[in-house]
Amino acid sequence: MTDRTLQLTLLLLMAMNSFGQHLSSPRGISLAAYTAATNDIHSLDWNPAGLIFVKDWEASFSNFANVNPNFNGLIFGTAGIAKRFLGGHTVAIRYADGNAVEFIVPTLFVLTDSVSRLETSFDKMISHRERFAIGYAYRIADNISVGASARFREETVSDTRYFISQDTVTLVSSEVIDFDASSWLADVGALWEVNPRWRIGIVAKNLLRVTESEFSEEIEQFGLAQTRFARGGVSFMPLRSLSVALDFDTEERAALGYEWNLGNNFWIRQGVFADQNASPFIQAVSVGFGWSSPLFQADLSYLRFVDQTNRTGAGTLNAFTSVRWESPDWNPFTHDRIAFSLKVHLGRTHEQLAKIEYIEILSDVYPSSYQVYAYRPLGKVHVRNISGKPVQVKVGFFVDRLMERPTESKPYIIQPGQTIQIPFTAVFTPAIRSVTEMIIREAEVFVSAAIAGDYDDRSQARVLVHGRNDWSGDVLQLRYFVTPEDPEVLQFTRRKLVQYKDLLATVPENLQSFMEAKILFNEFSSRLSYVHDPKKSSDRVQYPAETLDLRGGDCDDMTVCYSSLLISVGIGVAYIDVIPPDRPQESHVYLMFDTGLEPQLAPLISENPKRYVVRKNDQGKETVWIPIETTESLRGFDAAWELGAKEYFNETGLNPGLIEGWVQVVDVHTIF
Amino acid sequence: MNQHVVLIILLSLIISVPLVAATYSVKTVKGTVEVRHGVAEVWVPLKAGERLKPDDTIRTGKGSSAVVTIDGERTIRVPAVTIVEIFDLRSMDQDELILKLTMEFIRGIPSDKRDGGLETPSTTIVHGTDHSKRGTSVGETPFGLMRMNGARVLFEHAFYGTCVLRAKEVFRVYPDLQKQFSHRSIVADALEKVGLVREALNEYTALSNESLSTGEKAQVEKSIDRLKKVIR
Repeated sequence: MTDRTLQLTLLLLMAMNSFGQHLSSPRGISLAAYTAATNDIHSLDWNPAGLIFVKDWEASFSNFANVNPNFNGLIFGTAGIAKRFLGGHTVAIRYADGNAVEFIVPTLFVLTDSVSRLETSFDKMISHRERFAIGYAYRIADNISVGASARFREETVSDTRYFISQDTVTLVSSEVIDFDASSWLADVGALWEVNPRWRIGIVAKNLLRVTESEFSEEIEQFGLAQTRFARGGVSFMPLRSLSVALDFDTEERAALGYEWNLGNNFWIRQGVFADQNASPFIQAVSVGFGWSSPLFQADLSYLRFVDQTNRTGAGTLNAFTSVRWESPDWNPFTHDRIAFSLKVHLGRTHEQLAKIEYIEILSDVYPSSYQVYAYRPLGKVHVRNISGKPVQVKVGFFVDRLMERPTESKPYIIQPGQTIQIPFTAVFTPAIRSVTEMIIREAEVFVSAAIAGDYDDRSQARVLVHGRNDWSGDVLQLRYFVTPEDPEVLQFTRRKLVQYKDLLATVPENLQSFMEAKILFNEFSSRLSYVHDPKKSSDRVQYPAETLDLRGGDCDDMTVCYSSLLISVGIGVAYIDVIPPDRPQESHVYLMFDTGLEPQLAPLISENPKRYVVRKNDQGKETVWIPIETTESLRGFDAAWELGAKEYFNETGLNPGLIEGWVQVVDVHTIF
Repeated sequence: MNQHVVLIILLSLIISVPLVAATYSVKTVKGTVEVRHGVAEVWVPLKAGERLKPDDTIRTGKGSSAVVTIDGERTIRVPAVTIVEIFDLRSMDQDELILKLTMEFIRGIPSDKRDGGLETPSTTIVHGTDHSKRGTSVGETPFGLMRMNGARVLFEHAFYGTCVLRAKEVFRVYPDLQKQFSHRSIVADALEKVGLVREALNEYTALSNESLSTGEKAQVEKSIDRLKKVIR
């Protein structure tokens, strides 16, 4: 080594140039507090649970420009895409070339000896990037969603190292050395939509870290701090057109902003950022605008820092080294900026306004009475307005293969946050009568809101479709098995009455119906070969044509068949439904028919008033009706009449069946 | 009409129809006295000492009579030319009577709801013979009068509730009978006896519109005035 004094002086002058930060969302910037209000792909930074509000496919692009004397044009910010699937899941991926911060540290290397002075300059390069981010959100309940995101952080320090070797002469050599560090940082967040006006969000930032490589100890000081902290936020809509938001975190930072809908989908936003541990307390203010359509959303923001020190593109080394900042999102060197983003909603672009809370199926489906479901609600849908404004809602219902097209309810107005019950009906095709055995079909229930043709929600409910012969046991439903216009019924009654035409010609006019009923009954009974015990009656009813063909049945079958025969010749029929309160297992149905006789002529058919009932017919006229117990069919008309009258007197005269309601007399023509 | 349905439901909840299994026996028989069991058409002679069932009906011929005892204590005398339903020989409280009258009222309301259900064809399928000019009438029959006499027996033995219901049923089948003051006034009196003053007033008011003798009219007006004072 020479005697020359070797003096090495390292001078650092910093010329800093910071690029894109995590201030990736112009809407987020201008609203300032975005933890609870976030609803797009930029939730990756703010609160990953907000991804759940992506409607279907969403593509987003953003650019920004730093506002400083060294304006260097528009800088590419981010490009990302998100997809919602299976209703409650969203995934997102984003590339952010501009999400980087770089520092250039000019260094002067001075070598002096007794005779000379050598100065060499070089740049130390320090960069931090978070170019890749992925995220996932899941709706765990109707109003609660959670999410997680991960950002890939890359940090590089390029340094020039000098080496001095002294032999006969002193040699100075240099070498550029790159130091790299990379890691995945994960955030976890949650959102609770308390009601359409209130939303609460919370996110744990940098909760997990997976390190791929780290800086060596000698340059560790240049790495970003990775502080875990939590941030909470709340957004509130005091008015339909106004929302305000507030964020605060465990590092004592806060943000406050509002968003005001000026109409025509045009928005104005303002925000303010504060830090308890910084000076000044108010760090920055922001303003922004937005415009949206079903397909696009464009946002513009301007961020202005109160203290411009170190934010103009150059700073002091002291400032650089005195603060250990933790992320590129927010640091002492961030510039004022103008940011612009464009979101494109692809796929389903309709905003969900209403949601199905649950579906209530009111009854099974009996093919025999399939027409009734066109008027009588088959079920109810509990629909909630999840938007912030009144919506008009319709409910659709469809069962594949049993209906030609979905039914649609009348429109209902639902106020924000309100849940109402909307009944739905079903127009089944006659094909439903071909269902011979009990089946379960998936039915689809649709809810559409406002004038949008799309479904706001869609769900499925199981509908039990019974076989064509199944009966609910409700006498009101029994009339749907009555088919007086069935060709076999008409053929039977015409043939028999023509056969007895001469006898009928001798019968007085006012006894015609009585005699026709008697003839038909006796002919009907002579055709039968068996009648089941009514106590063995199942909830299966034969159509009249089947009873005529099978030549037998139980009390329900007999009642239905005989009433069809009577109605086909113009004789009114009423069913007597008996459910003894102490013996419900012995419930049964029989009938009474209208003789057309005026009450004062009742003695023409019987002197015993217990054998008939005086009641109004379908013309509103009081006439004499005769009870018939159809299970006595094999013994003929007189026996069936006697037993029917006996039962009726026993149940309604000796016992209070009608008063207590366990006996019902139901006109077949007015059963609805 | 819905109000009446509700009324029926409420009343049926608060009352229970007393169906005490009373024992009916024939104490004495004079002349032609017959019984008809249940829904049978035939009448058979009734003898003293026979037990009767609630669904039996007895009738007496001209110059005949019978005495029936209830549980061996209460004696009911059935005069000549009378038909009495054994089931009617029971007391009915005001609630049960109101319930039954309300049901009668509802039954009388014409059904005007036609909503697509099966309609009865207006013509039959028998052709070729003109039946329109033929018909049968009952003619003069003593049955109506005999049954009305039975209602009177009920009144006389303080079975006012069943008296009202039986008389109204008879009037429906034999409408001419309700034009007679003596028959109609039984109903009004029975209603008043069970405390249904307004119903009794309505009955008298309707009766006042019938063609009555001067004495009958005076009696009706007197009863109307009396009932109006009670209502006030």
